[in-house]
Amino acid sequence: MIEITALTKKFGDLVAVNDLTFRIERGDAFGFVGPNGAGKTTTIKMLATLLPPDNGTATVNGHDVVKEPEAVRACIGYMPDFFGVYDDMKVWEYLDFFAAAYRVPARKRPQLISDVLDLTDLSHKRDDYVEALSRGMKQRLCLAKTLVHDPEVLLLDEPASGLDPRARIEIRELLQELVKMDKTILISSHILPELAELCNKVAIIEAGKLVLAGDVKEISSQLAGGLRLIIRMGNRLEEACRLLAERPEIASAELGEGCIECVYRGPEGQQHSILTCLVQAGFQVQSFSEEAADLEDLYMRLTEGLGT
Amino acid sequence: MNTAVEAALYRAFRLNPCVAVHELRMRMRGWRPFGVLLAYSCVACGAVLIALIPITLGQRYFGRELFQVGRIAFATLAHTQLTLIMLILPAYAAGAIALEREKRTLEMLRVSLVTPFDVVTGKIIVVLAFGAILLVSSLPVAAWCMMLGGLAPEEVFYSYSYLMMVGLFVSGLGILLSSFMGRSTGAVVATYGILIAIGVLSLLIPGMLMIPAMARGGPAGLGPVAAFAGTLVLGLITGWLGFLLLRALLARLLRKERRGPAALLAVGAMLCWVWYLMHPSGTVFKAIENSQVPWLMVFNPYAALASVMGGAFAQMVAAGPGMARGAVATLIIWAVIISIYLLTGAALWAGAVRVFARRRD
Repeated sequence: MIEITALTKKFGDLVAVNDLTFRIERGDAFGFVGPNGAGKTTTIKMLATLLPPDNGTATVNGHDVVKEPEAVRACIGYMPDFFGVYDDMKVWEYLDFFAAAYRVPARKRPQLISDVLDLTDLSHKRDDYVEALSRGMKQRLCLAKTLVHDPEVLLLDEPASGLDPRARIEIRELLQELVKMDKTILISSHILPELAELCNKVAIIEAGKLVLAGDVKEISSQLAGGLRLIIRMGNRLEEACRLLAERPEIASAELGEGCIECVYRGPEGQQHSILTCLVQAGFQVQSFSEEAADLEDLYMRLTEGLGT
Repeated sequence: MNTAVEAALYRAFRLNPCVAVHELRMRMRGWRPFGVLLAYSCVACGAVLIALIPITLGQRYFGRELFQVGRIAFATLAHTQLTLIMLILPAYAAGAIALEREKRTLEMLRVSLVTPFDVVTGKIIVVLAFGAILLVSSLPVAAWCMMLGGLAPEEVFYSYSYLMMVGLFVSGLGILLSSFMGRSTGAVVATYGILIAIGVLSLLIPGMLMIPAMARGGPAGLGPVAAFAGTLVLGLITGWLGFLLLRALLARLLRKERRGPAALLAVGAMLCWVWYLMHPSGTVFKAIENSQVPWLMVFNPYAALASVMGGAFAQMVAAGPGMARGAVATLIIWAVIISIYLLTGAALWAGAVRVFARRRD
């Protein structure tokens, strides 16, 4: 869906993006992580055909961003990190304008506008002026504008930056809705917990260079030396911990607060054998789960010692 | 906008009218456009009334007879409108794109499927439409001037068509600078600066050229220096355009490996053309050398307006050797001036599209 190969962009002496290579498949929610000035926005702008790369290639849906910019624009929805809104314009007019800009036929626009307003929970603001909306609502409106031509790929640059907690949660829920709609999403952020809940893949970029890219769970598992399991049980925690530590597929087992935290290194998809073992040994297991990848921890470990 | 209208515009001109529709919605909303319209009408009417004060007091107007009252009133109206058009439209045009850049709305527009042509054309159409509304709002005053007598309908037509072309020229200039510059303030200042420079230089240069001729006591011909400069400018412009056209034509006709020699051939042909133009015994050189200095004043908007209205300046221009007289002279002068402003306005418009396409922010 999105393929970037050796992508490089320089601004004078500054190398903003340096030899970047990664791939995003259809339906992926891809988190683009990095500190300010790492090159996230520059990369997204190159994918959005706003900046020409100095070197390398980037394709979206099979279309080269340099050679076929119009085809790329037709299949992407781009939401910039900072954006302005037009004064003296109503919400529906704003969406109608962008629908027309994407050549959506006039007869289809009213229904389409209603649909995206429903999706972004802005239906009640349809006839309000854009400048009168709150920051969170403007952000949702911008997302609605991004969806108005039903793009397959969404390029979202810091969609939740500068929002209050409530607006941030609303945006996150909206993005989760889009993931369910099978959109391919490239989302940049430095608010890592948000990405962790949303993304199945991640790329970490630092000073224009790719540090790591891949499946969040896989990366997390690699760094932890295996898959982290959390087992909660009412009693006999120490006994269970010892039992687990003796098993060959368990790399380590430690006692946590009312639970056992262990690292599973056995064959993928066979984690249930651990649960079976515990149940057969007579332990009353209350819950058995994989620990959600802690992107923040992952990011800190990967970028340790790298300067920006 | 209706689907059929949109489709028709796209088929006919490859124009997506969404930017024009959007601009119209924004520009015509609220009290501002109507405030400007009201102020425009008040100033235009006020100027005409002030011009008529001496006549109402029973005096002769600068030595003219009373049957020319309508003409005097209309000339005042036209000159006032010219000033207002040159004050209002550049500000509207110069802010059109630079303001979007400033407010960071342009980026989202660039990522959509609208082309630079759609954006620039949409914006310029709306500026011109507003200019047309301003001009139309003064038509009742023009009708009143006609009732006072001494004014022919064709003079009204000549003046209004000229004012519309000035509108195109100043809007084209404003939109070009708006595409080029990062800040709207800079674009507005630069547009007014260029307009003032054109106004001043178009009077100063002919004036300076006339001094030696007047000292000689002979007709104010442009002379060899002006002919050299004129043919050089003409040669550079036509030569460059010709080179581009010829190179494009040859590049289409010839195979890829021969495009280098084709470009050289085009350069050679165009150099010959420039040499022909600039040769002292050439027709073009001689024509400019012998032509009357006042012709240069057509580049001054006020002098040009006086010309299209068939005033004293037009008579002076028409008095040159081989020139037609009277109504025919006025018609010719109108056609020439309209063509100059139309072509310049269109060139600025096209330039704005090109600049907008090249800028990446």
